[in-house]
Formats: sequence, C-alpha cells, structure tokens
Amino acid sequence: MMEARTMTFTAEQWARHEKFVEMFRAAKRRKQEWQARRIKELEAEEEYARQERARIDAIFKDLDDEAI
Amino acid sequence: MKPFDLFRINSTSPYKVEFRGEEYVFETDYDIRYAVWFEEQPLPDIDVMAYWLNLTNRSQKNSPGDVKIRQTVICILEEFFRTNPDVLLYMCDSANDQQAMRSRLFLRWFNAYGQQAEYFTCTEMVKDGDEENYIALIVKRSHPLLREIIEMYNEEIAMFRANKP
Repeated sequence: MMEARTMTFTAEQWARHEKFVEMFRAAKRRKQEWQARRIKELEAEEEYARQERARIDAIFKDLDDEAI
Repeated sequence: MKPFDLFRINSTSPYKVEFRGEEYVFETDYDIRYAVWFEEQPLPDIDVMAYWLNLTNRSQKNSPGDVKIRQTVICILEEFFRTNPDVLLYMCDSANDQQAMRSRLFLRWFNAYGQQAEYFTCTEMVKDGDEENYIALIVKRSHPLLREIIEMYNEEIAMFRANKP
C-alpha cells in the first residue's frame, strides 16, 4: 500500500481519482436503492403469500364446517 | 456478466442457491435469507471489467455463527470466477456501522478457504466524508493485468487518503 503522505499526484491522476470517487459513490447509492427496492418487493411477496394462506385456510374452514 | 451454473453451485453448496429477481438467494437453517448480487463496474482508464459484489442479510435479524453461510458464499464466488474471469470489488454493508467487522470477516472467510494461492485479496478503509468505507479487491492471480489492477487500486486508495489539496 502506497503511503499517501509521501506521495504527490499528477493532475491526470487526480482526474482519474475523481472518476473513481464518483463511481464509488454511485455504486453506494445504487446499492442502497437496490436494497430498498428488494425489501419492498419481498414485503409485497410476503403479504401476497399471507393473503393466499388466509384465503386457502378460509376455504378449508368452510369445508370443515360443512363436514360437521 | 455470464450467468452462473446453478447446478454446479448447488452440487457443492451446503445451502440451496436460487436465482431470483437478479439475485442469488439462499436461506439458512435459522430462517435467515441472504442475497448475493453483482453489478457491473467499468474501471476508469484501464481495460478491465469489474463487478461490485453485494452480500446482504435480507431477514433483518442477526445470524448465529453458521459456517454454511461462508461455504455457500464461497461456492457462489468460485462460480463467478469460473464464468467471469474479472475483478471483484466488495463494499461492506454499512448497516449498524459494522463495516469494519464485515470487512475482516469477509477476508477471513475468503482466505480461510485456502484461496490465497489462487486469488489476490486486499481490503482498505477509506473515508468519504465522515463515513468509513471498506473496499476489498479480489482478483485471480492469473489475471493478465494483475499488476496494473493492484497498482490502480493502491493508487486510488492512497488518493482517497491524501485528499485533494
């Protein structure tokens, strides 16, 4: 690992670094957005599964009631 | 990115890995769901394709010690390098300010698996504003541009630390 304190950088290197920092920040932002989107999608999937289970349970409950 | 062969992953992975909604997901014995996904990242001024590796616990609850998680993630990473001989960058999840611990854990996972001979791995902390970020680099030692990639990584880290005057 290069020691930053002992190094000097050219304008060209700083220009590239700027691109790298932009890239890094954009990746961080996308990661957070992706996480938030996926969490919402998973919550929606779970809610759908919960409703389906409730619907199916209701059908079987009705059948049980009829059997009795 | 070339798609992974799930059959190959699952032939060695302790947890069953599925591809769902652009992610590789698996669920542990403790009902904790993990997601692994990759995002393409062209690197500036070097003709190399890199990918951000993202690994996250989707269940919002802590996982007990579970060696099978590590083994499963390693199986996914091995498949990544088998199908995509590129560079992996890993930015640790910053949830609960546990980046440093995650960074150490991740490299320990990777190196404990006896990967040092085949892969170059390195992790460094950089500050972006007040936030500490850990960026890991993983690249196959057989990569034809290995030296250039390491130099670029080291230089970028050094510049992060130097801060532009």
